[in-house]
Amino acid sequence: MSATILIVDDNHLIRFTTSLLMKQVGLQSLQASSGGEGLAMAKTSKPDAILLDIMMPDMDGWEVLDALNQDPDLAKIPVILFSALDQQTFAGHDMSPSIKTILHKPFHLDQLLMALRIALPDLEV
Amino acid sequence: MAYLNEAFLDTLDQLDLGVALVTGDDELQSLNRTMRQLLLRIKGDDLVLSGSDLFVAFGIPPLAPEENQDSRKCEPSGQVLRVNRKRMQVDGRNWLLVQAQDLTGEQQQAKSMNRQISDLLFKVRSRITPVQNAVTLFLKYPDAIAQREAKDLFGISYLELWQLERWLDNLRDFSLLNSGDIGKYIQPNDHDLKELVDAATNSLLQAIQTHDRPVQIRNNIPPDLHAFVDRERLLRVLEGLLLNSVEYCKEEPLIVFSAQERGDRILLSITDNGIGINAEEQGLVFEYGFRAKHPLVHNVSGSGTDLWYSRQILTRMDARIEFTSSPQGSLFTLDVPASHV
Repeated sequence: MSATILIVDDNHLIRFTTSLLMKQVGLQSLQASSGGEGLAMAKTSKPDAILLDIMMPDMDGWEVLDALNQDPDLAKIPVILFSALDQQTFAGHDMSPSIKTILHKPFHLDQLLMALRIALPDLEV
Repeated sequence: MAYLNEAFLDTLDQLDLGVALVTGDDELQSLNRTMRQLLLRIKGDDLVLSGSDLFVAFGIPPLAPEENQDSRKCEPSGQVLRVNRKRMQVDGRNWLLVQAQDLTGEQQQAKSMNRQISDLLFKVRSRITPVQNAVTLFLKYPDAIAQREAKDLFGISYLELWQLERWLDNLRDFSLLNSGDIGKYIQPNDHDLKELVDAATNSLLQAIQTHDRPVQIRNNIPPDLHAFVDRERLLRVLEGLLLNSVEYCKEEPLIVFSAQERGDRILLSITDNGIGINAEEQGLVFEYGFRAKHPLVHNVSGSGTDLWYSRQILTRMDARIEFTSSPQGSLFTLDVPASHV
């Protein structure tokens, strides 16, 4: 199975380099620079999984998750939380079933691939 | 007062150590001024008649009969105290010596430092991420990277590492600012201002060599204008201002340095053609963690600490920094001591 991953992150360097990594392992990627743009792209493109940054201006990752979960079509898309925040930051948040795993920045390629395999068990990377 | 003479109590006051002496019958024998001030802050008055009253005010139980001494941290009414208690025998009589030290300021300082470190670590992790991705791409897929992509990746890595180095130096100074030791480390000396601006400019141009738009930096500072400043720290301030001007600009960045001497001061001006900052946000630019509410700002992984740091460190160099802005760009003015060595 190949897949299309939506990368939602306000840092364009992280989007750019992460999408290049995905390209090398045979994955397609889409890029959104804000929560709002990510939500709109999720609706129109229906990606196989979403790599979702938490700390973003205007609409942060938690708000994007809430909006995704309220839409029955989008609630099924597996989400990988993607953040440079400390691990304990996640402790106070309800983890919705769509969150498959958390990928901490900075990450190694193996960790990215592991996160993608957890989100998409049929993925061959 | 019989067992704690005035001179001894004065010494303890100078150490900001609150002291109370309690008799074996729980009667309060004496309190020093620091202990009275602590009680005023905690309960609004310093009326205590017994050791028990004191411990109720601190929110701690009496010293257990089987204990000869203890040490407790307590937080009555938002104050953070370290309370030490010790039983003593003097002239055949039993006493309880109570010492209290106010740690509130230290705790706030530690919390502030923790926050600064935590904020900066978050930004450092974010900055490392594209560098690590770039290195992974070169190591694992060297043949798959197009020449144009390779140039971009090297450029990204160089700039991120340059910025990380600056932040780590800032972090060292955050710690010194918090501990109050920064004065020992600032080393002002005679420096040619034109040469110093050239050094900052060259450092930045090296870091942004793969920038997609040409950057113009004009150094209009007259020759032989000498400032009495800490070179390393002023360079870091100037590099931060230059990078802001480049990153927060929609067009081809144009930055102009000029300076004039006024008595024993030099006014150094830096103007740019960047996005500027809204009038309502201008008063906040030197606040810790400030980031302007502009979409372009959030595409850049800034720390929100550079301008705060600049003001803090310049103040310690007997210098000042001011800021004005319009939709056409920003003007930073640094007022630094002139050197007449």
